[in-house]
Amino acid sequence: MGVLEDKRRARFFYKYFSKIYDYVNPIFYSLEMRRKVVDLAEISRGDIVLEVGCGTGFTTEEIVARVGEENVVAVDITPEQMKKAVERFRGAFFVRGDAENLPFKDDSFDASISAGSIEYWPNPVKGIKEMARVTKPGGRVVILAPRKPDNPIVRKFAESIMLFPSTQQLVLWFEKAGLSDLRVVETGPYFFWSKLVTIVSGRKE
Amino acid sequence: MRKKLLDILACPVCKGDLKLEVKEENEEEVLEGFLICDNCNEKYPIEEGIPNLLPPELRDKL
Repeated sequence: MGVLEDKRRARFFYKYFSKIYDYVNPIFYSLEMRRKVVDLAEISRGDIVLEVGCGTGFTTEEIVARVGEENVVAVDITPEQMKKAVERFRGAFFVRGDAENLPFKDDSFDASISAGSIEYWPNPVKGIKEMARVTKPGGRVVILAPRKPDNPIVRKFAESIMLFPSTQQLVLWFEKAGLSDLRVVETGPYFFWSKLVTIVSGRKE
Repeated sequence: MRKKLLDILACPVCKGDLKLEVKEENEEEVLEGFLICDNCNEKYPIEEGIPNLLPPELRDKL
């Protein structure tokens, strides 16, 4: 178990990290990657979209551009991170909540998106199942996760910090959560770092 | 929290319906108050306009 793979530690890390987060995050998560995540959710204007782990609102911005502020509901565990997103998107809805215990009724959203959050979930299958539960039948669940590094030394270091699932592992979790028609993209911010993350999209039957 | 959100909110633990108890509000939203589960009676605070719907044991730990 990595040092940040615990909700309490992740919450305290981000409480302080939130001050510099917006400067550091673009190094690992580019605009192109963000577009890909939201493309895979197959949403259009007027759709109601859930974002799990919105942080300061980087992915939220892309979702808002596609469906409109008033159709976005964003959840995060850390109020310090979420505060920035709240100020940026006054028309969106924000809820402090936990991915593995989502506070929504079944079949509430046209799609559910989570980018860069699953690595902090102690029970990822439960989180994916929750996202599927609150998504309407026919809607998509999309998750971006840091990919298990190929280099064994880098992998050992990465796994001491948090969860880095392999692409196969993520696909298996999506199947366990009952999602189908899976689409998988491995991508990264630079040519030389082109397999930093895995994005998986699955449809709820 | 704008009241429209209530249509889709549920208790994070038992997924029961929530009812709203307003302490302070303006024309747009509820600033302070509680969301109370109809089913299990758990009480969730609304703080500075943001509902805190973390499960109680996580809310106390974080």
